[in-house]
Amino acid sequence: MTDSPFQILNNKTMDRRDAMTTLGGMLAAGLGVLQTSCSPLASAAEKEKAQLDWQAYFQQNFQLMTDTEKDATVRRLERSYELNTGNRIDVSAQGPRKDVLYGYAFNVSKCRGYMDCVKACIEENNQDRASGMAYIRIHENKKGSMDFEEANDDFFHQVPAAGHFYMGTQCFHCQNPPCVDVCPVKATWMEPDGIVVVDYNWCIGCRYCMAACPYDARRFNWADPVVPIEEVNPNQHYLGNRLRKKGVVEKCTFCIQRSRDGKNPACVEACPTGARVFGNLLDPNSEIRWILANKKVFRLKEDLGTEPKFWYYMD
Amino acid sequence: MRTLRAFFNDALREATQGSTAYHAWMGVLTFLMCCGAWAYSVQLREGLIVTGLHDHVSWGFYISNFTFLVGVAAAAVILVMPTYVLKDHDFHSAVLIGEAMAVAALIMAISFVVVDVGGPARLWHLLPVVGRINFPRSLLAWDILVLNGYLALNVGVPFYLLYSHWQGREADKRYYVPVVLLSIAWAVSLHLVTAFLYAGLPARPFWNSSLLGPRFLATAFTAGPALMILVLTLIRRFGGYPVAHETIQKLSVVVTVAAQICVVMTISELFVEFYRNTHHGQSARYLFFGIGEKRALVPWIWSSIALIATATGLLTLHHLRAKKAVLYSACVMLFVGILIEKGIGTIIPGFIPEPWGKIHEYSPTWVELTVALGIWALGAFVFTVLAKVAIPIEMGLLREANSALHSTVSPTPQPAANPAAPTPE
Amino acid sequence: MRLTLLAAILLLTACANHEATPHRSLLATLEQSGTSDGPPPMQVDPRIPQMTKYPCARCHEKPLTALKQTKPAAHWEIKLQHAPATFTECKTCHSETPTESLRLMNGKEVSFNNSYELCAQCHSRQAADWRGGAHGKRTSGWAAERKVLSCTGCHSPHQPRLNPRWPAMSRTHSEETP
Repeated sequence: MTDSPFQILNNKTMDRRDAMTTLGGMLAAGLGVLQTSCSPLASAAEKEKAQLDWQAYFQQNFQLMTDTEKDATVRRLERSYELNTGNRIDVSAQGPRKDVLYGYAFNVSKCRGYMDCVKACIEENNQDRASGMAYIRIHENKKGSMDFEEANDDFFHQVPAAGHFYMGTQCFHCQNPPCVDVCPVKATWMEPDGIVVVDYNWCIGCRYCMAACPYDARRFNWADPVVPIEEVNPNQHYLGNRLRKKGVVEKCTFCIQRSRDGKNPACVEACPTGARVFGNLLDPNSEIRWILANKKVFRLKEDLGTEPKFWYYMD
Repeated sequence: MRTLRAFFNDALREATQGSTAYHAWMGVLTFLMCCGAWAYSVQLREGLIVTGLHDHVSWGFYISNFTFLVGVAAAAVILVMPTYVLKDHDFHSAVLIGEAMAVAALIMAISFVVVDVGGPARLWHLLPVVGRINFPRSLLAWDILVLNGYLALNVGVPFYLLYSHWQGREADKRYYVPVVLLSIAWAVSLHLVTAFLYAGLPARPFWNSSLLGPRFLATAFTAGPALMILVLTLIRRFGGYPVAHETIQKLSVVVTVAAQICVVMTISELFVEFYRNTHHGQSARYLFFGIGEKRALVPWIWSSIALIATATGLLTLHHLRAKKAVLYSACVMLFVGILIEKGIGTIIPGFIPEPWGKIHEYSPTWVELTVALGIWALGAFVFTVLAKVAIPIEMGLLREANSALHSTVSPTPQPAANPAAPTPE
Repeated sequence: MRLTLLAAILLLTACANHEATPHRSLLATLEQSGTSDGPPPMQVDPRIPQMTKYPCARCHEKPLTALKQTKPAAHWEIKLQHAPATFTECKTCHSETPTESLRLMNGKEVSFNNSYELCAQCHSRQAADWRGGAHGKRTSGWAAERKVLSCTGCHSPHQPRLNPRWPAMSRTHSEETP
């Protein structure tokens, strides 16, 4: 428990100069920076840590970085994690592939509410375990209605329940995303391959994007996120599942660390019923394009003009 | 340069001196500010988890206060406009007080935004050149610009006026009148932009209405002048500042008309929300009647409606409005009513139900309440200091000619050398 | 007045989308990328490596009538719950004289690895969806050649209906086991 700055200022035994020095030191500690870098007693590792934090604080918006800067940034993240935990992670800054636009389809007839996708998503994306954060919501609808208000998104019984069907929602990676428009600092944007991403180092945490999203796709780190060290997924992407700090917004990135590697997102891989389909919308021979061409599809809240790249279909 | 320093020295001395009551008042405000700062330090350490906010209601008490205070700030024009555009000099004496109130309200509004963000240390990302502001696409970027611009205007004009008066000369109209006209347009756009911030979100049907902007203006022009009437009365009583009776009377007409417009707009919104039982009206249904067991906002909105309706009724009748006791109590009722309506009845229900129809309620925690109290104390502190300096200058009591510092270069202020300082009470 | 007008014009600029993607262009973009020339190519997960009683000839040396006299009985655990019992029996899919393969209705033999051809006789709609990618479980990524499980990868051919189970977690009682 540290003293509050006011107690220090009021402490009569300390002279003004000392008090100001302590206060300055505490402010720096608040940024996790200067205190260690200036102290002669700090170890080399601590100095390096403080230096990395300092560089991270002043780093540029990711979208404006050159490839060299991007590389230096992810190396810094890896080093910082190693210094803090002794473990190694692999952070990628892999860019988009050419002529790729990701799209997603969800088979309403096939989803049975198993929640395997939600579990896989949390584990893959290093989501905060303490608050029970989840990007995906599975809604248990009564047959005869698709009114989400009436649906149950917190069920725990044998599934599928008689007389019910299931629908998953998550970030739809709108082609015309309202969340991107409202961000005051351009900390969130749509990548050329259609993935809506957040630069967690640039986000100021104003949460305007959460208010603007009509799909409840965005999550905020209300406290420092907790991921048990043995559960941390070490294969990370700067714009994806790397570890977040408190006070920033995060969201589904179609598992950018996997999808840009040619893999399917964790939810698609985990789904045992094959209700989830992922692919390249610009490839006419992809499964997603076959579904759009051959099944009757729909999107949610199409009237808002958001152009989700996430379609629902039925058998 | 030296004159400028002498001016600030005079102002500082004026602000730091006063009766025991003044010091006690400032002491209380300082204490409250410290409490707020301490609560904020808790929030900085733990994160926004210590607030009542969550992923479903992601803006709450802070942003509600911000919205309300932007309205109060915008309402300062209601005093400026008649004086400079309509050449109606009944308002003249109140202009500087109005602008001081705008400055205080703006500082509070900006503080409420700062305490709401998750990464205040990263706010430099908003700066031009080094940061990356999303202008003109993001309405929040707009709001930040208009807020700071309006603050600059409202600091600049009164500073020029006071500085001229302090030097014992008339301010040059060619310099300040164009700026005043700009600030009038600015004030209207300030509150409209703040309304567009919400109204531009189709994700939140409760806000996504073209009436939101006009309603914001109407409530601002009710609550702002209502507060002004109360403040002017207090200043006349305790500050010894002569405020013309006509000023208060004219302000009361403004309040009355604005309150009537508010009521009309509220009725037309309610009609649309309730005539047909659509999903669009779910937030209003939750706000006014509650949905199932979830009815946290119901008592608040009905007390707000009762306060606003009663006060509007009282003010509408001429003979009642003329009675001071009725006027003052109606102003208090309107101010509180609109504070509740803007604070609890506008921002929070926009998030309830959440986009998939679930109801997750919200109520502020002690941290939010303490931080808010601290910021309100900060506003009152700023306003008191500004008024404390402005009043003696405007009354001709504080002049460069009397300045203790002008002849002697010594920067140590001599309390005894300022015979002009008025002693309240 | 002029100032107000200026402010209004400025505000209108916020409505102009400066991004390169115009509104409502998504489907047009997809159309521009060309049209498909048939279902996406795919590779089906082979069935035979997973079969425990294969090859059939290990037991089925004698004719079925003769085998039926021997003890212990084989395949006794199989309970056929697939379409009305009046319609299906072993030989609807299996040949009476086993030849390491399945038998279509027209008498043609089909390898166990291609069992989907047999299923498609009745389930033609599901088969079309499966070929297209709307039905079935993919095991490869989106970029590599498509690999899918065969029908029998998920559905037991004798009891194709999937049974209810407990979900992996729930939103608030996370990780709780029943």
